[in-house]
Amino acid sequence: MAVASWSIPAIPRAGPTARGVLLGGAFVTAARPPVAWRCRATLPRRVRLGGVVARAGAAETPVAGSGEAGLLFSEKFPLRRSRTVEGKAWVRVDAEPDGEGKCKVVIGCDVEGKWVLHWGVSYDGEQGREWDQPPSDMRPPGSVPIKDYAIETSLDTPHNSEGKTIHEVQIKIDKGTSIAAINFVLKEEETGAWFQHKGQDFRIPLSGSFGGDLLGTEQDIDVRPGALGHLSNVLQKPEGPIAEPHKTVPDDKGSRTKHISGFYEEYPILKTVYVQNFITVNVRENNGTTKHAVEFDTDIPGEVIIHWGVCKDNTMTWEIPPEPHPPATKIFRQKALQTMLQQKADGTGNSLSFLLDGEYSGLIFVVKLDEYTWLRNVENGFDFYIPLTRADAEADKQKADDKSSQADGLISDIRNLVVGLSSRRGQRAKNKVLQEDILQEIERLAAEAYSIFRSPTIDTVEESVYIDDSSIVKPACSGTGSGFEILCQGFNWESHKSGKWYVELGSKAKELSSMGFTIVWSPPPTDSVSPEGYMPRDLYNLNSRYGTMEELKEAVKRFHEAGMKVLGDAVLNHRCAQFQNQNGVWNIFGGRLNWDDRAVVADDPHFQGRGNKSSGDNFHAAPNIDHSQEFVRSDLKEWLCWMRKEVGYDGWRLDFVRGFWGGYVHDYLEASEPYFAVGEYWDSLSYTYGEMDYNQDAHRQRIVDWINATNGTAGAFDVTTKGILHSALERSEYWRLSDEKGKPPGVLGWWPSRAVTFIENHDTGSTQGHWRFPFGMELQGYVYILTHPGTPAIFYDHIFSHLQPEIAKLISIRNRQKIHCRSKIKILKAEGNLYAAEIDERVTMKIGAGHFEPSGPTNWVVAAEGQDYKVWEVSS
Amino acid sequence: MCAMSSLLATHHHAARCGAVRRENAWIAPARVGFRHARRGGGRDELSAAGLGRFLGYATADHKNKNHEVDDLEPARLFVGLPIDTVTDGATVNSARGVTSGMRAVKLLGADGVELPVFWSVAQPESPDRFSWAGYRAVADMARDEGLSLRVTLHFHGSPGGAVPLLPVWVSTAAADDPDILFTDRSGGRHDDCLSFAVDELPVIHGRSPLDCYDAFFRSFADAFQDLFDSTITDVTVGLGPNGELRYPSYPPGSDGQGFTGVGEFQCYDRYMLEQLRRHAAEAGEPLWGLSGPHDAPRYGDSPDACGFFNDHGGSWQSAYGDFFLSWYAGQLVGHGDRVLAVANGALGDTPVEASAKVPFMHWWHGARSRPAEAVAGFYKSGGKNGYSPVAKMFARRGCTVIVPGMDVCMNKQHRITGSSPDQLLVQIKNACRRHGARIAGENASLVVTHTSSFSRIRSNVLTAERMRPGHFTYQRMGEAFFSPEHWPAFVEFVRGVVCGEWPDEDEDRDVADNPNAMEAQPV
Repeated sequence: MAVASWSIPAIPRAGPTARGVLLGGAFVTAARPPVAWRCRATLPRRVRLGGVVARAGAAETPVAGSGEAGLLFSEKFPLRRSRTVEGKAWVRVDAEPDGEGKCKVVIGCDVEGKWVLHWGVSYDGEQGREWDQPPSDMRPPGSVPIKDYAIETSLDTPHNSEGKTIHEVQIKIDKGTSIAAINFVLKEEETGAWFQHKGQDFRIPLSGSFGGDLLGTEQDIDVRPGALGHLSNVLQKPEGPIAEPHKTVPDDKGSRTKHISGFYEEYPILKTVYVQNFITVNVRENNGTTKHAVEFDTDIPGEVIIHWGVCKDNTMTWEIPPEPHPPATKIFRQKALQTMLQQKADGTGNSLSFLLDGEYSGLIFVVKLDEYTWLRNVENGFDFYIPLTRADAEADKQKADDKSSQADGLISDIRNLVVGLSSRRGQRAKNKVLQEDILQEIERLAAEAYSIFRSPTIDTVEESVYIDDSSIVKPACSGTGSGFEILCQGFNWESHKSGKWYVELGSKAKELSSMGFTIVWSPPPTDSVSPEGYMPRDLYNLNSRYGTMEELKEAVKRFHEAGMKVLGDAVLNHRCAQFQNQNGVWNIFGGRLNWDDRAVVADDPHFQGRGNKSSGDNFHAAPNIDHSQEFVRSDLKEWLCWMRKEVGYDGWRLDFVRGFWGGYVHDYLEASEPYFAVGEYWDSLSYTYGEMDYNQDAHRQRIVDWINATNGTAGAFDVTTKGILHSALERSEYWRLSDEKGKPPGVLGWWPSRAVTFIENHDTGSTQGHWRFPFGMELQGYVYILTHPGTPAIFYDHIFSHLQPEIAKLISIRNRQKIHCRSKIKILKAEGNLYAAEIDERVTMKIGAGHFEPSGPTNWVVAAEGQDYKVWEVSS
Repeated sequence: MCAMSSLLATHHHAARCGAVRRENAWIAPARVGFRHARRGGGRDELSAAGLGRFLGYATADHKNKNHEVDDLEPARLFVGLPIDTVTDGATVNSARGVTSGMRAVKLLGADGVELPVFWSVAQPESPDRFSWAGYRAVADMARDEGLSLRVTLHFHGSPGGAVPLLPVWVSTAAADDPDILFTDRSGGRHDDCLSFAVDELPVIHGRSPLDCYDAFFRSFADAFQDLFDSTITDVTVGLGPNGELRYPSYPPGSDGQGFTGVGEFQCYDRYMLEQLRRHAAEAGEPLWGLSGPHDAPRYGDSPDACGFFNDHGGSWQSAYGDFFLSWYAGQLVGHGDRVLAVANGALGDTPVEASAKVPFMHWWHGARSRPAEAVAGFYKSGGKNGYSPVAKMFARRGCTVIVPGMDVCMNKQHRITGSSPDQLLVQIKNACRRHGARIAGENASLVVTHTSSFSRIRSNVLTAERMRPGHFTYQRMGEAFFSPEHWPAFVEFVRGVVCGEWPDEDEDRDVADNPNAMEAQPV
């Protein structure tokens, strides 16, 4: 192929808007500069960088661009390399009693970190998730009880053995104990990552091990359908803190040695840690000449190659500068240069400096360590951009118009995927993945188009801003309640244990109402394979582990008497069968809705459905219901209406709505006319190099699309906001809380009246802890959601904890100042350690350690104050 | 693969040139154009094509098997936009749906979309004012998605839809003189369709319809000037009702969709009758010019029910029959010729492929007289191919013939009307081949009930014969199109027909070394 000489496709995916990225060759160069460079890769980045660097413990802060004569640009970029640490965890049981007649269980791990054992015991042989707290004589000193079912014990301060650091904890047990097993998971406190065994808790069978015959048996983990889907979610699609550093417990291939006196088992652990390095780039005017001296300096040892190109004016067209090139430079396909840096004499890294003609306005580069390791700007995930002119040029760039990066996010991601994949064409498997991705995207678009053509509206050409319909809202079936709703999630993952939850919850009705809650979300009521209720079986049998149907009705009545509405948790995506088909597959349903395999989607590999293909994602632990079947829909509508009437539910919390098309939800809601409805559309946010992207528009777009498909009849949990709060609080990156347009970055910034904001629920927190809110920062989270538009939902565990007084105070502020789901918000500050906003001109709040005081003519008085937060209201 | 890759090379080269010239490489839709490959502009990175290859579908068989068509390029696939995409000139209806739909079909592998443009929408209130904003917005969307655009210019309305039938100022002229509208034997008028006989008469506030068409073409060319080089690859000229060159031989007030009767002659407006009278006088048979055939059937009649089209001894075989049918068909060809001449004058400089649609009159094909064809205006003396005169005219004007029945299969319902889609398609292709007209395809209706129609489209489009459609347009997007009943089958269909077209190996290596590729696998 003759290489065209007119442009330098230097570096692919120059920015999020690089729609000109080409499949095969020339990666061109959208005429307009990508927005990310303009607003995040240049000036503001330096500001933020300060925070990052300081936190990383480096003394040096970036030098301001004009600090030194002749210095045009100077910046120290953090680089992040990954290093994999392999290690193992082990469990050892010494069956030989010691002097006090106690046996010893040792759990250890040799990977660096701050390890905590999160454990409990079970008394019977039943393999379930029933945990109990161990008796106090079993608890090692320093153990902390977690609620009433588990304790946490730190692994002992490391001691060395054969040159390796070892963390261990010992648990002593009476020889004659009735405890059947110890269950545990390992937690690494610094990163908050949880380690499970094949997606399950570790389990040490005790009674068996003393008998001696269990030693060699496979330590098989029973299938616990209740949690299966959710757990595997976590491991396969890392979310939040688990995503990075990325740790996995690979399959148990550990050696298995037989000890004479107990058992010993090892589990390999793979932990990826990041190593922080830096690269400093200085650009100076070269005395007298028109050239610029560019200097690279990095502390990465070994071979470091800079892959770079330059551009002129503001064309953003990348070129190779004319020769002479710096020493040790290769021309990379006529498109970019690859220059190897020179080892520094003291061995502390590499550096190089060279001259560049003054006519160029910018230099772009990535750092290449080896064939497989390319480092980009960790700040934004893009290539490094170094302006070679003074600020005026940058100002020009800022002017460049760029409004629609967001809309193309997804599609360009897919394109990038194509670019990435085409390079490894041999890998059929990858192609399959790509194919699936594209087809999924196509399906999504088609569903969106369908929902829009189905209920045609005239959109203005200018494009979609989700205009909130405050004036045209119809209370009857809007699904959004009064707009002043405050939700209480009335259960956690353990609530089924008492067997009397409805009674317990009902007894709290008055208290919740007086705190200011207007809606309570009650647990899934049906007969279910799992005790928590999320594996429904006979939909018309409402006797569950939470109590009987009569108790449920009584509880609903008590809430109604207290002036609160009650949401039922409706699991519509999947349903467990009662009978097997002729192949032995469980897909024949029983009870009043005795469907057969025609009600099961065809593309669920496990359940041999004969319905149509699923209109959404599949939940893998139970047959996914085919909502495209008329009989299924009419049965479900009837069921919902029955529950409305029979139980008295006022609305719905809809489980796993990713599993089917939102248009069907619209049908269901139109039929059952809920006062309030909210769907759980939970998927992963966008990450680059394990770091959460600043722009989460694609994520919230998916949620908004779903709401749109329901025609706005349901709200959705604002997962985007929760995710961004995680990063913002945990890493003190409060700048994340303002999007590029200065609005809140979650669903609540786009469609507040349909956003149900939350910081924790039974899946993310409670005893599952799939995606736990940063510990100790819950109140900051609540300050955010309780002062902001959207409909806030508060988690049961938080209400009935030491947080209660402060949460109650925040709720009363919200109610007193009449903040509602469409309140107007003005973001005042979104910086490294401070976020402040004013809501409806009546409330001002700040979170973060930074100092802030509201100003202006309004007379603000402090309404609430606590650790890293403060709320003011207008004095009346 | 050789034909393919040389073609690709051209394409890439073209892409580069395009990009240089235009700064923004994205603008253009990047297509291996049919005749205009040189224009080819930017690239569509995720070309359909790519998907097709990915999915492991072989490119069309024609590559190896066929020796006739090695000069032919793969057929381009278009998807029609909703007929009411723009109805008031300024806004796009369901704009987000249109965007999503475009993106979906783009990802799926379509080359472009077809945009129906109506005279009544773009020039609604007065002959002096055009409102292109809405259509322009749609064209920009297509450009932004990297799709080609085929624009169909409809002068006649589409009854039953949300689109106005005729511009208000034309309708007022028709109210003053209803005879400028097509009229059937009982005096029923087609409110959406100006009689072919008034083409050159100043019946619309002092202007002739042809003058109006000319002005319309020019204004269109002007408003979309910058897109002709890139996005707009095809312009289809509507020559009659529903954009087809034909008489509205179906009952007034309907759009002819689903009408399978013989139909009626539409020669009873004052101007047609006047022409008939003059023509008869010239032929020396003044009595033949007094009216249409007295024994012609009514709309829903079977051809045997009346004298004119009777298989044996029907009047159609008489000298009168031939006289009348020849004149009737000649009027149609004359109209098509006049409008295409005007279109060529106005759009001749633009690098687009011109096309126009003919009807697919497949019912009553078993009758010797081909009655359905004849009342729609397709007739040639001596029992010859009725499509022949039309094909000849198209060829002379360099206009591609769009055949809108690529999906029609025999089925029970069609059989009772004597339908024979296969034979008709052969007949049309023969006519076009004889005269050297290119063809392109469309489907008659959304394929919902008979998914075998998809395989029929597939075989018609990927055929190895010489008369292979240069492009195929699937009609059309809308609620039903994206519904669960239709969409999945359509996806399967497209995945089956889209030809693989993936960058050459050497280009791939560029990608292999690019950092972004590595990024796909973060540690």
